Amino acid sequence: MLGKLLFFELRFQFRKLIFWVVALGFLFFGFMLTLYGLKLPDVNTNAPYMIAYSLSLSSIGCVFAITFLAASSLLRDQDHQMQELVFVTPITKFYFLTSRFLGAFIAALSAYIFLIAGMLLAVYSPLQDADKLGSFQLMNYGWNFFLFALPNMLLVSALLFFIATLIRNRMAIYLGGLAIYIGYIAVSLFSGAPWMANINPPSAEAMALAAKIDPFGISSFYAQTRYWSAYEQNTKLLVLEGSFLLNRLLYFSFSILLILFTYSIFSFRKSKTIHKADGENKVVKNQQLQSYQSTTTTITNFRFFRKSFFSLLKIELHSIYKSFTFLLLLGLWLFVIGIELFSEVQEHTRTSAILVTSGQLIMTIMDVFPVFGILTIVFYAGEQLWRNKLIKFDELNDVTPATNYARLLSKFIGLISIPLLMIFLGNGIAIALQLYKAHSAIEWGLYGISVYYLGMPLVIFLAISILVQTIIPSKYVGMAVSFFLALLIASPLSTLMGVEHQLLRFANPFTTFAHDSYSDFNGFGQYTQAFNWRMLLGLFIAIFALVLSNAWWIRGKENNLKQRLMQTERVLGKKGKRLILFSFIGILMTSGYIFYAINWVEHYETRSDKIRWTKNYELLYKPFKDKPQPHITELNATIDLYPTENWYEVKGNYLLDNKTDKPLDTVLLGIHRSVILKDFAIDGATVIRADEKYGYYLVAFDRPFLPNENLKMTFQFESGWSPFTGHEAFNAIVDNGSFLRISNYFPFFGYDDSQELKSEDLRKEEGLPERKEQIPTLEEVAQNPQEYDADDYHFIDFQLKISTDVDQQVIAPGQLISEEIRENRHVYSFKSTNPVPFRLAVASARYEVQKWSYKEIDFFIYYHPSHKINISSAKEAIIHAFDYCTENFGPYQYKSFRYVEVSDFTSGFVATSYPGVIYHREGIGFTHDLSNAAAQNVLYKTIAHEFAHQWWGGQLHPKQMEGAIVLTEGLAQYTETMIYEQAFGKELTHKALEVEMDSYLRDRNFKEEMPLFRVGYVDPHIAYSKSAKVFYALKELIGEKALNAILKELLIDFSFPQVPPTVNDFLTILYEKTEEQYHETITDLFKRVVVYDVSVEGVSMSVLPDSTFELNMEVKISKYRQDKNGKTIEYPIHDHIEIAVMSGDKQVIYLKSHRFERMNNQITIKVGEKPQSVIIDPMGILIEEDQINNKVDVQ
Amino acid sequence: MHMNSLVLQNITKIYPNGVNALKGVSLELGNGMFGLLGPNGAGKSTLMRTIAALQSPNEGRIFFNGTDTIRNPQFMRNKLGYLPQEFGVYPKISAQDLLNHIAVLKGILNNTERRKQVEGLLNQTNLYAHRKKAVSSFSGGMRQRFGIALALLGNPQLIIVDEPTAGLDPEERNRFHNLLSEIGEQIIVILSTHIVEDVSDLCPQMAILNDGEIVCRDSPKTLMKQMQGKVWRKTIRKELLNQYESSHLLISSKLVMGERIIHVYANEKPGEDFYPVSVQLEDVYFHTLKLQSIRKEEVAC
Repeated sequence: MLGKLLFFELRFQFRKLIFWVVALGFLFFGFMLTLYGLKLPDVNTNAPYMIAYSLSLSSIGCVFAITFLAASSLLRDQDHQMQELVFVTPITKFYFLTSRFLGAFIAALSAYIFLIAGMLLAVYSPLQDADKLGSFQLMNYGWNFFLFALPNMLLVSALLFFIATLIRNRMAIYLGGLAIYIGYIAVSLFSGAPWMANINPPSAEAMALAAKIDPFGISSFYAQTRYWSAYEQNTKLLVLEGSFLLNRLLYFSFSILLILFTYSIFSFRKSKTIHKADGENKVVKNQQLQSYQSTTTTITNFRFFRKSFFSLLKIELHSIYKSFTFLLLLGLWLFVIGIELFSEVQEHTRTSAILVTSGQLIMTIMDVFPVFGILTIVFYAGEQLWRNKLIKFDELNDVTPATNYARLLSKFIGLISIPLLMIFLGNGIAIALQLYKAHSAIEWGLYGISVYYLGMPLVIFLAISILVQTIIPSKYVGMAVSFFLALLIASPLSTLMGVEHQLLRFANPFTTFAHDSYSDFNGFGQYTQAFNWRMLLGLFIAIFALVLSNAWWIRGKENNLKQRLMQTERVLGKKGKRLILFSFIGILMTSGYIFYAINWVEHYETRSDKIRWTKNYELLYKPFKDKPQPHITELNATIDLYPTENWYEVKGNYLLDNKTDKPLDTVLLGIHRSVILKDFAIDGATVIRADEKYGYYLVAFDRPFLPNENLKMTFQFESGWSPFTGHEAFNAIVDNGSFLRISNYFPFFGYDDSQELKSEDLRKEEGLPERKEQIPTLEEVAQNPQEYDADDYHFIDFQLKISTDVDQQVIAPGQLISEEIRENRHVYSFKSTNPVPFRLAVASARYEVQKWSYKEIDFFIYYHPSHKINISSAKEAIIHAFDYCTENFGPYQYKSFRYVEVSDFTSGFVATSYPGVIYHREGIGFTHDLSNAAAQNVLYKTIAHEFAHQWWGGQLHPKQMEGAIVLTEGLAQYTETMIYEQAFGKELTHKALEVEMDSYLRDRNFKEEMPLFRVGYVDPHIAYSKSAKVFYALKELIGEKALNAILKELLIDFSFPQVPPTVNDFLTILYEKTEEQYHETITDLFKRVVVYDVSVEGVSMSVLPDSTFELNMEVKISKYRQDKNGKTIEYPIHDHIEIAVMSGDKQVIYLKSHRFERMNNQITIKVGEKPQSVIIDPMGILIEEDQINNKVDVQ
Repeated sequence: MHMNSLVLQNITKIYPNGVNALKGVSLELGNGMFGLLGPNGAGKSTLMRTIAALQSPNEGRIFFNGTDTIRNPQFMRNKLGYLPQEFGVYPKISAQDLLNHIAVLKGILNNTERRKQVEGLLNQTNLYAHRKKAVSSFSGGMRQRFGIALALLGNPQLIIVDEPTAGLDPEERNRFHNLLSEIGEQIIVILSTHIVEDVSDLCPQMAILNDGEIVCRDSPKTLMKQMQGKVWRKTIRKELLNQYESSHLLISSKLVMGERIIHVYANEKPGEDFYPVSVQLEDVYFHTLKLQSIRKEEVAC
């Protein structure tokens, strides 16, 4: 019986279109995820780790699939009004429910198999890198399927089964599915689930908890694997133990219980019982009642249109807003946006909470809402357009003379009111939050305009969805097509499907093309312009779609498209034809303009064009890499900024010096691709080959350019951007708050590798060699310093004349010579007081300025007028950093210091240091709430770090090579930590270092790791995070004074104009100036990759006669590294590690550094007070994955 | 009293799946109740929907009072009352509100007039006491009466009721018939049904639709008269039914109080124990269907 029913059930499922839509969707998703998803350098595409990753993550996505399949299965009888029929047939409840549930569940599992098929297809497709292919192991798929797919799908099916039984409404199932999905994402976000956290790693406790309670087990997966090496990822299967086992058991039993519960509450009742109306035969005898008379009707005037429209709208709104499902949707939205907004203003492990501004909150809403809005439209358009048909009111309704326009418009207005209401409510929460926090004024205008930014794309998409639902005579297919269209034209995912041009993606949310750019300086900048054009195009398309929907409106039973198409002309009428023509011309004109603006005014490139360019660039010009080139020794330039027009122009000249020992016949001059070179000339030289496409010019000297000779070169170029193609983060010339790393865009000599293709995977695809090994090694430089230019700083003198809009101020490195208003422009002159690296940046904005003098230096802070609140804190940090650095490392080099805020249109750094100037992005620091003393003060840290760069990077300027970054970022991290510790104490510093350690441990597992002294520029987790830990450990080892003295010596010996240092120069001094007993540890820190596992075990206590306490314990030290093949290599132990003993009231009663020489150590400690616990390495100096076993309570 | 006319010319409907639902139906109707009789699947509903402009025919034209309503469906919609074979309603909306809504959609824009008419209809259909109740909670009979109320809104000159009495108990059916006959004199009312009594009770004119074709069209009286004296009845043993079927032109066979009684068509008394019957419309109906199926078979042979 059950077999037969189940067979029937499955046959039903497999015959449904929706099953195949879902299955193909899975196939596609699996394929794309494997091909374009997470890539780890040394990990195979089909490594068990990657399979677990894909299968666990995609089990979130499977919520949707199950929702569709379950809805069609669980509510099938109701849809077809067969419930009486089924419910009276003599199937028992057991057979009925079991077959239904298993049918949906097995169908979902079968569809899910397609995901694995898609993954396999991708792995074995020619698009896939062959050397990243491990051997095929069925177990890898099977085991992860068993761990994730099976229980997760069971859980989701059980939940939906429960909802379906309880509410018996399709929309409720959809919303239930959506709720599970979004609720899961939201809760994960809110609780900082490890798989979501990016910049802010979760604490160990949060991770442990998430691993236990994550319903899909994704956090458990992360918790178990987060520090896995590439070798382990390639070979190891997940182990079902500990938290993971607990988690899976918990949710498996929950699912089973829920199914049993649902089974028990199910009864064969009809959801909507038709009661025989009581007293039906009661006849009202009331003489005063009217008797029936026919009455006149008017169906041709506007009044009829208006009245019928409002009557239809009323019905429409009634059906939408009085449904339980709508309340559910609204509740869900409020829940999600509430959580998003609150978590936006929460503090994190790295930073304190932000100061709540309208802009911040609106950006959050703009990030979260579009997905919600689009899904709402896809579902509700289907539901509402087919509603009359579904409840069989279509004939009664359609036979009335109310026009299609009235019907269409009432649907449209009714439907659009849903997302609009959601936007209003979202904004309402944001406003309430702002009122509650009271950090800044409410910007009503911004809230107002956000309704347009958020709503307009949906208006357009709704019109298109209505057309789709009108053309396609099936609700589900219509929904699927709308959804697909949404992906193509209305979502940022369209690039994944090969749709790149903005013209085709006109209904994309505002943020897609604006790159999350919002700034208090600049608002949304010029991006609003491009958005407005897209919306205008969309508006015409919407009108076009609506007029056609009107013409093809399904009226009555006529859903044959051909039949309806034939009537197009008649139904359209004169007005309709005029509207079609009008909107068509509008579409042509707006799309024409957009096309012109993108393809004609700007140089339009697809992603693959760009890749091809970078590839050819490298192939053609890399051969010139070692060609001897002259050096620039002097720069004079006039820079005219036109912020409101988003462009600037530079005219200038260089003084060139042939510092090589040979005469030069030709030189290669290059120009960055986002710059238009107008003109250039080198004295006594002519261009023999100009390649404008790649920006290279081969220039020949009329007579050879002799060593140590000087030549002059003039040049002129301009650069700018259009809101259609977007701005470059380092070339952000915007209306207000511009920041330009302008020297990146000046003409240069020789080959510039910064424009190469950077992604290693793309390089492999394009057949280019690996890029990461390109920096010179320590050995290469030591053997041949000349070749690597390692013995000369190549600093320059410069003079800049910079003009900008009259109401803006310009800040550039160097000494400010003059400032005047000329010809309605604000003109500045800057000059270098001493030679500096050729690294220049310019900011221009309408600033407020805080100025003071301290120890004969003039200090300035330039900031946005609304960011006053943290200026005094910034001032304090600057003075503190100034004092620390000048006292410990040597004098500050310039007469002034400028701290400059720049807009968030720039990205890629928090703050950046130039000679005498630090530029700081507005989003981090200036806009944080620094009043909470227990939270990290990100502004203070940033200032300390960047100020330290005036020495480390400014005065000490190592050449690009292995380990050089240790002397800039590493030392800046160290200085930052010291200043921070002085200001905020050990506890906050300790917490900050823990975050660094976690970043390091998490990121290091993706590839073979370099020891710190060989680190390059692509491993920030080593250069920044590990550095911070290492230098702190070094300071603890040899003392802050000794370390600072060594650094001071390094500065004296190696700063300009002497020879630039290498990391080995630093290490040499370090070894020289420290006692021999520390050398082993120093080597561990800098020259080895070492991880510790230390623990205290078996603590026993005895009370001595003099009523002191003796503690005996076993201390285990393990010190190792893992090589590429997963082999563990143990290191000999010669370490100083602190042991602390705490009393009952959390006081430190013993703290001493012990020296250890072997793995197992017996230690005896005497303390005067009754001890509570023993901790090894209490300050967390060691790099250690598991710190939990460091502490043990005294029995 | 306005004289209305509905003319169907050669209406043909072929569904995309190939089903030829209507094969050149032509009819002319004037005021009064018109019964369209036919078995299930004959194409009645398709024809009704086609007239109601809810479907368009592949071929043929429809004129209502001289206007081509396929080209100008609004003309038809403005004068039409239509009660579909089955219909649902919006949940949680009361009878009165729904009537009001449809009244607006029909173009009754004056609030007072609309209120008056809705009240009148509720009264006429005996639903006044239930006007505040959700229609979705109505019983079958109440729902059909409510449907008639919907159809009567405005100033309909043509009313189409498609299988209105299916599933109603005799009392309800009776009440429904009274309602229809009250309005049936001054306008065209098309009653589409497979129940012979509905037509014989109510309709002075009728047609039989079978397999997409009009098989006959006349007044029931004339039709019955034509067959007078040619229908014979006999009580038989049920095993012999096949035998009679092959030897006689069998009109119908039914059980009456456990006995099998057959009606056969014959110009003269066909044999022993056959008795003449007074012809009912049912005999005409079954005989017509029978004749058509025989004709079809002959063509096929």
